[in-house]
Amino acid sequence: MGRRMWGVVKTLLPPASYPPFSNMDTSKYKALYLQEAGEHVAGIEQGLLALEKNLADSATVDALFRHYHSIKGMSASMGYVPIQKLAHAQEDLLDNIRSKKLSPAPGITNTLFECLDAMKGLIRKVEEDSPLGDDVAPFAAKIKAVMEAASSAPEGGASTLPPQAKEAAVAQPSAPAGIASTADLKLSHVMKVEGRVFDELLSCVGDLVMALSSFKTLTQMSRSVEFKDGIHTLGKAIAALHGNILSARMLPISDLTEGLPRVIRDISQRSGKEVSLKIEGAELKLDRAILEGLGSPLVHIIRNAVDHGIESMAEREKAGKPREGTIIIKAYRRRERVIIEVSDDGKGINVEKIKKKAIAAGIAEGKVSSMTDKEAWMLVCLPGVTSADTVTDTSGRGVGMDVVKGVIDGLGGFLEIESAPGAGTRIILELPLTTAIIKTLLVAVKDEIFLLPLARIERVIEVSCDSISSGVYKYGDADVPVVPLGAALGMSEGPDRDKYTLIIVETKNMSSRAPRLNHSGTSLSGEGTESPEASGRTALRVDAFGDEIDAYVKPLLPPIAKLWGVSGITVMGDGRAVFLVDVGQITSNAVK
Amino acid sequence: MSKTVLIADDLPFFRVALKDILMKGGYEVVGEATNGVEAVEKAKSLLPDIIILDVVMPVKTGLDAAKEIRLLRLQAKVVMCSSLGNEAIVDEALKSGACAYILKPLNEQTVLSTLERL
Amino acid sequence: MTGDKLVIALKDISVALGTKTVAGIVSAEKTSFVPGSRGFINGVISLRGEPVAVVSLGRAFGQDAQYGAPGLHKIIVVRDKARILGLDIGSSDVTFIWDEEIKDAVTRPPEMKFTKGVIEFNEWKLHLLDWEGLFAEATGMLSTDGAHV
Repeated sequence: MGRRMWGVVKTLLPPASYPPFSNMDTSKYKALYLQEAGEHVAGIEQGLLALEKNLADSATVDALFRHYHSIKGMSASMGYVPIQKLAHAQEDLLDNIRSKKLSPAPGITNTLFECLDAMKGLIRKVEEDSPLGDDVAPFAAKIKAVMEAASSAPEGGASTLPPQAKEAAVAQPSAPAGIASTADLKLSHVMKVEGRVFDELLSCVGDLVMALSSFKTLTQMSRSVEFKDGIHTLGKAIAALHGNILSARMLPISDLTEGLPRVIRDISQRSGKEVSLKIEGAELKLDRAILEGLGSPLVHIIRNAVDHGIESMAEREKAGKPREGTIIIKAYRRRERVIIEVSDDGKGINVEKIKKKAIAAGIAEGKVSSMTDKEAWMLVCLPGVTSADTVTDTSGRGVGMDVVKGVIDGLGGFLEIESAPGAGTRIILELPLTTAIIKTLLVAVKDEIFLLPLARIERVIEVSCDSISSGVYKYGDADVPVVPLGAALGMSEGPDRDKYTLIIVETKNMSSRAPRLNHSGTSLSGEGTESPEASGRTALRVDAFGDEIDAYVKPLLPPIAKLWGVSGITVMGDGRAVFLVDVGQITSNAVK
Repeated sequence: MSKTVLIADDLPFFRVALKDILMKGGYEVVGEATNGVEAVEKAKSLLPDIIILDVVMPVKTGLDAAKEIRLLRLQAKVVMCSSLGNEAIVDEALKSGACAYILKPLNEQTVLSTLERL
Repeated sequence: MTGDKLVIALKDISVALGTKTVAGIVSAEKTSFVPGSRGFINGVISLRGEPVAVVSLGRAFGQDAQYGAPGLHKIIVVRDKARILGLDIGSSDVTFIWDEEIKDAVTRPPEMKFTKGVIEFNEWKLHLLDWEGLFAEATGMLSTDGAHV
């Protein structure tokens, strides 16, 4: 390894027009830039004050130099040329003071203060996203003038400036008025806030929403117009507050997926496969709590895809596929939900093998053999069932998809699997955009009330008991299975009623609307006839339904952290604690 | 195996940016130092394949750190990094034991191609 | 076992509880049904906007009948840093004993489940409630791991 790097060094000098951070998203670094630049400006301010009072030791001068140097470097990286130039000129001056070519005379510190103000003004413009069109040449010229004046001054007389330099230093800045030299104290517009603060804010808004709902009930009984108006205004303010907090909590999916290329690279290298990753829709934003929770499931799914989905290069060549496997992550919005699909072009899930494993894991044979492919694919989410042939370092130990499904359920989402032999597997995650406050429908069973997430409800129908006596309800062309909500949650049966309310909910089956995976013309649609469950709807039978409510749903904590059939709890305006029904869990009963 | 890298820069801004570039290039950033002394210590304990040193750092400059690392006879290749683009510094950097020199502003292609050529 | 005590007179026994752990006493006609609940789990109420799981203290001590009765129930909400639990005492009476009164009393080992000791005081036998134990038992009872796909 030679030390002769001159050739390389020359090619390293960037052309002047080189785009800063080419191919990198500078906006991502802007917040960091502003924060750090602010710290350096504060450091300069302190350093200059010490310098002015002749209190500056060499360490202070060194620190000052580094502050300018840092601002210069960062500004250059961000493409903030005027700031870079200004910082550079000041850095030069400091370098001269540092090397004792110049002593910090009042004229010099004054000039430095002026330049600092100009720099602050420019940084503020960065913050405000205004163009940095300002010409900093006058400031640079001024610095040059004081430097030249000082160096031409006689030995020992460096502290007294020749008249022309003094003039230059004292002269009103001929800089464009655009550069604010205001001396007022300014704080950064960008703040670093701990995520926890947002959690607490959201919790407070949740309490406000619930308090508001009890006031709304009161207004219905009140005749006071002022009261009704007041509550209406309050409601609008709370809604705006809620919206702002939610949007502050939103982060792009790319924050999560940035690390994935590396993960894929490592796993595929270990397994001797070539895998490329494509990500679409990474700019979509999700609540940070949901995004955070999505991290390990996503890695799990990708590990499964590389280890067990994508074949070895030899196998792929034999099957006429490109040597390199492809994993596609596609995120898109559907109404108030986000769909994240992870597809691979591997060998797909072997349904027969999965069924055998499920039977070995203790699922009734009759049940398994009558399953549609769609139901059978979901078997990989049972604890102890895996499609893996071999146990690898990274996956296939039988823990995995069951955990993934648990996490997704816990986030208020659901998971679906599609697979086609030889063509690949697609894991579909549907997630709420935000947590906490969700639109719900109040339903009653006996003297209990529950909340159902509105997003899952397709229709609410009142029916006579006769029309559902067979256990199914004729909804359009389809027979929809009727599930009594009370019984599903373990309540004792109430007296028979003449009329019931059916809540038609969408079940896990979303594939009828989702675009289908299609590798080399192979469709992923399941074969054979579809069972009623596969039609994607279930009718939850309740006694009656009530209002639509914006419910602030709290997570379930011990001792009720692991209840079946409910996913959260809310405290109503009247103090009543009401559970939010986990529709996915209730309707998945059929697979049990 | 991906190559391991130690980054030494006093500015979080550049550490973040450099780390992003290195991750994209498939390098593994095993450590970060905020000054020259820390850089030498971490070079000894982490034994990275590559050490990227910023020239201007508090406590101990990158140049001094590079000299010290050379005396330690570590396997690591040292790359200097700074926005000081003048030839004198480059020359001094190479004398200090650096194999290459990266100029700020950081440019993804340049950084990666420089490291590839090591 | 020092500190002021709140004493609950259940049918046959008196149960004492440190007043510092009591977050509030709520009267409720009805608690919300807890899915899959069994044993001494009694439902959910709220205290200051926070949901609280409720257990029947009578049933926890094996006294069945009167605590399921309709009408207003007294629910004592106890909490520490991490846990909160409601104790449904039905219509049982509640009194207080101050620290000075019992500071010379002897604490003996527990005689039954969910208690952590016995204090004898003026021929009165007070069982010190182990509500943390009750909490743990309730958590176990309400966990439905593996009950679904």
